[in-house]
Amino acid sequence: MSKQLNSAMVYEAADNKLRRSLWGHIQYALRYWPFFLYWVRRGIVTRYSQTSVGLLWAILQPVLSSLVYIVVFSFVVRVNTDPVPYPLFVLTSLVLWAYFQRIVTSSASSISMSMDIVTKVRFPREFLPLAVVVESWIDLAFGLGIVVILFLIYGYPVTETVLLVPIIFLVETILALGLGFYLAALANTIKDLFQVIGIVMQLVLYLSPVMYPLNTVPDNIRALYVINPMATIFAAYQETILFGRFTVGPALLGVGILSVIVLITGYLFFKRMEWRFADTL
Amino acid sequence: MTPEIMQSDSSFTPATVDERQTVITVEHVFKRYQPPAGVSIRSLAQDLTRVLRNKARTLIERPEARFVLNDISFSLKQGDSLGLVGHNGSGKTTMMKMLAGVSLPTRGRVRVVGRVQPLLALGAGFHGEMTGRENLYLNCTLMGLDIHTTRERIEKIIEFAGVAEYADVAIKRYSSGMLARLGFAAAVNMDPEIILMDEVMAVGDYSFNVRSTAAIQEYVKRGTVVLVSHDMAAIERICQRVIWLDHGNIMMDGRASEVVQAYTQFQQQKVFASAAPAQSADTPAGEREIIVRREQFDADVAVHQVDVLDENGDPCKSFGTPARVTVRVEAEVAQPRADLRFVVSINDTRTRVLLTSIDSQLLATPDFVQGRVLLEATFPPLNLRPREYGISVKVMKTSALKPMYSWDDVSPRFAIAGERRNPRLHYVAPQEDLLFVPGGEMRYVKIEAAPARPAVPAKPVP
Repeated sequence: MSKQLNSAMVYEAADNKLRRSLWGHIQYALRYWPFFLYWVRRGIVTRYSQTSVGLLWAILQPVLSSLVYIVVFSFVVRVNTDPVPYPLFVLTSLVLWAYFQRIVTSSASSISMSMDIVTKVRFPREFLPLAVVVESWIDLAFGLGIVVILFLIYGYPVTETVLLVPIIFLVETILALGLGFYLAALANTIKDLFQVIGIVMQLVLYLSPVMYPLNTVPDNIRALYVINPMATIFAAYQETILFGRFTVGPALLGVGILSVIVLITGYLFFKRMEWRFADTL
Repeated sequence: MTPEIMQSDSSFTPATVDERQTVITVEHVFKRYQPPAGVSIRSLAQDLTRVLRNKARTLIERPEARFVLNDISFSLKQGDSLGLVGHNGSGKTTMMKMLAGVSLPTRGRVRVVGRVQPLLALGAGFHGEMTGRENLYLNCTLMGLDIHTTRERIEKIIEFAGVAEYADVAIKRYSSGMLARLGFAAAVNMDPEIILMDEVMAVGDYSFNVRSTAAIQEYVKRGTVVLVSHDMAAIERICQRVIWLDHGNIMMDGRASEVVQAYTQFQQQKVFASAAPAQSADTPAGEREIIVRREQFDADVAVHQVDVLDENGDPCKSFGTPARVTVRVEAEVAQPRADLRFVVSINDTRTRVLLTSIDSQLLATPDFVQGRVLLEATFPPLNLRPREYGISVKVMKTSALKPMYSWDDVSPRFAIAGERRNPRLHYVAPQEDLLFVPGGEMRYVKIEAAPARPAVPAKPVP
């Protein structure tokens, strides 16, 4: 009858607090890795199985939205992206922007989408925003596939600076996930946040060099771009992928440090706030 | 310890030293829900700065928040089984949430050793687009099983649920019965160390029901169990010890039979004192009025009337042996509902034990119910002890464990005539907890899609 208890699974909470360090949280989460894999899978199945064309949306989405910007920015408002063809420029940027935007907005809603398990079962809730990141890689992979095809169609060359892209990508992901943790922690109690996120993302999109290159921004305003981490990230993407140079190194380092801080504080904040998910219904 | 706790005479701790490990410790636990956080920037900023400074130790004092739990302490050793009873809002669910580890004690300490499985709803996290097998992988890993154990268990679960040929079909194509079976099979095959149960489950068709009842019994023997239920018979059957909660305080803590008895007596007194008799249009004047305890959990579902009929379909108050009892239930479902389940039971109004039930899930249920429903449950010939009985009706969703509407006769509705001390007559359900005796029938006399009428408001139950 006596069964060996799984003493690794000790849960102890006292005085409105679960005494656990950052490392303790991570160790606890690591035990649940198989759940994470199946949860990601569930997310992907959910996202694509209900639409009639399924995974095709991963391709259609960036192409169609690029078309909108191509019409606006190459016919209505002319943006000079020499020597890069504008469609190539805007598609590259938009694919990478969509990745950031999806992580931030989907993380915010990730908790309220899964209230049935959040209010009943104890498991590492950080997996919900984290799964959003992994799920976003699917869209991103398809998007990047189209970018590569477009590069081949235009016969546009890439230089060795493209090797720096993974670093920029890492910074972008860390920043997006960090913000995602903050928003996921708050959006469940403050429902208004969903409305605000949409507007703010729109604003950040226009205040970052996504649809236009950084050098078209007047010098006196460009100084302001320093305070926008997304501006640095996108300037870095464009330089390394499209223009074959890399001049924003120090700024990117700063943004990198900032992103790591945002991620760690965001994670701790999330772990602190997660107790409210089941209490506020 | 608060002074108002009634101590039961007998103690649980045997005289010999108990070497079993303490797996649940609850020490002076208080819980207060914060009112929904203000949307003000100020409180947001406060929260942020407090957390960042790691000073989030104290809650902001808000006068309107009251304690849902007040100085609760108990501990359980490996293999113990505890029942929690109390009226709605007594703090049972909050206690369960804390044991499940999804809610923190505002003050006090909760310590749980071992893998906990909360059985609050069957099939948590199931998704219609995924196959049965994929959903099981998700469900098992969510409960904290490692990947090897998960793989090993899944075949067992699929076999138990009897869905082998549909294991790789998306569960949106499953019937509600199959889905309930799958959820149940997953729940009882996880082998957790601590089981938190909110109502005892009985699902599936007849043959599955026999197996599931046996499985539940086997299952609760293996681990440490905390059970919340309105079904006192189930509590007594499963639990050794019962804690009676009232407005967040422990009213009584002791041996199951004693606490259940005290609690039901207390409850009956309250109901007799406050409840109005059920309004029954065709009750002849001068006859005893029947006191009913009704609880409505879903505003769209209501039971309006319950009648006991004899084999000719006439109202009847006294039966011989064997009794041929038919119960007619008039219910109303304001919004269309699929997968509705009706459970009609005969209870002993004195002991409040359910004797036998007819469960529509074991028989044919219409796919879709809306409007006024008249259903007749015909019990197989029953050998009941000569005494007085009442009827309980529960309307539930096939997948849920909690009823949407519950109707319980508190005072007797019909009697069995006969010699009181006839040793050959006994309860119908002596066989452990197999309430479902074969041979019962349930039929829908009339389903009238009446325009939605405001449902009868739930009577506040003490």
